Amino acid sequence: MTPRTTTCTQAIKAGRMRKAEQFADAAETIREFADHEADIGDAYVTLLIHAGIAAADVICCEALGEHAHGESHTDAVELLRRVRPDGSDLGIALGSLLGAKTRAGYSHQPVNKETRVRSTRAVDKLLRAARDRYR
Amino acid sequence: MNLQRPFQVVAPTLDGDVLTLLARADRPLTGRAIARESGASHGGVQRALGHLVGEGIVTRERAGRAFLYRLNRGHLAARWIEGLASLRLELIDRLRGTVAAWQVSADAVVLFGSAARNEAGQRSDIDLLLIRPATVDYDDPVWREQVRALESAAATWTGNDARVLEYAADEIAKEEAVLDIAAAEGIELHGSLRRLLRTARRRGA
Repeated sequence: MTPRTTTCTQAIKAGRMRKAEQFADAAETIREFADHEADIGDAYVTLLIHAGIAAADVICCEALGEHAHGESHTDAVELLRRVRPDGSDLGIALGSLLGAKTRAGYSHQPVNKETRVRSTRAVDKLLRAARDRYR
Repeated sequence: MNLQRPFQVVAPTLDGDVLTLLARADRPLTGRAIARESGASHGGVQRALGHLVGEGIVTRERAGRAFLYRLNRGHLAARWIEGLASLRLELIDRLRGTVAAWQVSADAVVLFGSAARNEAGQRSDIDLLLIRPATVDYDDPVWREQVRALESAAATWTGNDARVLEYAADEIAKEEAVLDIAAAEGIELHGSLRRLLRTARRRGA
């Protein structure tokens, strides 16, 4: 399947990078100020998901000149996997965040510690890759 | 694609919907019944039937004051029409075949949501529930690659986004409404979610 994409401009790339940093900073802030990390787990992971998606867009913009467009999780992961040389690992990181998003949409249970830790790791990887590439 | 209206892939006309209903039916249908089932106007269905009878792919026989229509299964085109009409079953077969061949076996895989209820539209997601064995780590690279490939394959086969909802087997004893919904309305592709839930909740009680 051909992923649905949008051609990147410098403005799109800069805007997505700003959002990635902003969401990641906000996630870290609410985590630092929470008495118990579990109390803010859902908000924390939701912010990480937004940060990860924005970071993936920046990576795709820099490497491919286009980013995924629309709601399709499959499109977003498949496009990121085309990035060389680390697209496969980055795709797994984004897939993990989008999996958490799907589960948050269906479940009434608070996000568990395993998902918080996994999402933090995934965003770290995506943000690092976005910062390394961003020009 | 629209799993409910598979002919939309190649022929986005009422003729395709009429052929789908006739191909899926195990008895002849009246024009009125076809109109009711397809949600189309009686006049539109009559025009489509007139065209399809003219092509010889649909036969018409009188039954009192009404006409009965059936797919001419001896027609050269019938095999492909039946194939298009059963794309949802083909999707289920392919999903089953894919998860059955997994190197790291799932405890259960269920197709749920609109595709399972046969209500999927053109933009509906293909919702898949996966129960990962408790002994397999989420980050197991073989497991992750299997899941990714399944999502990608389902999207390629249908043109729809595939959404995987994943739980570890030792998480399902908790109250999760979505698991009950998937068990009730879903199509089991691998293993038995219902049995897993019964066992897990008995242990958890």
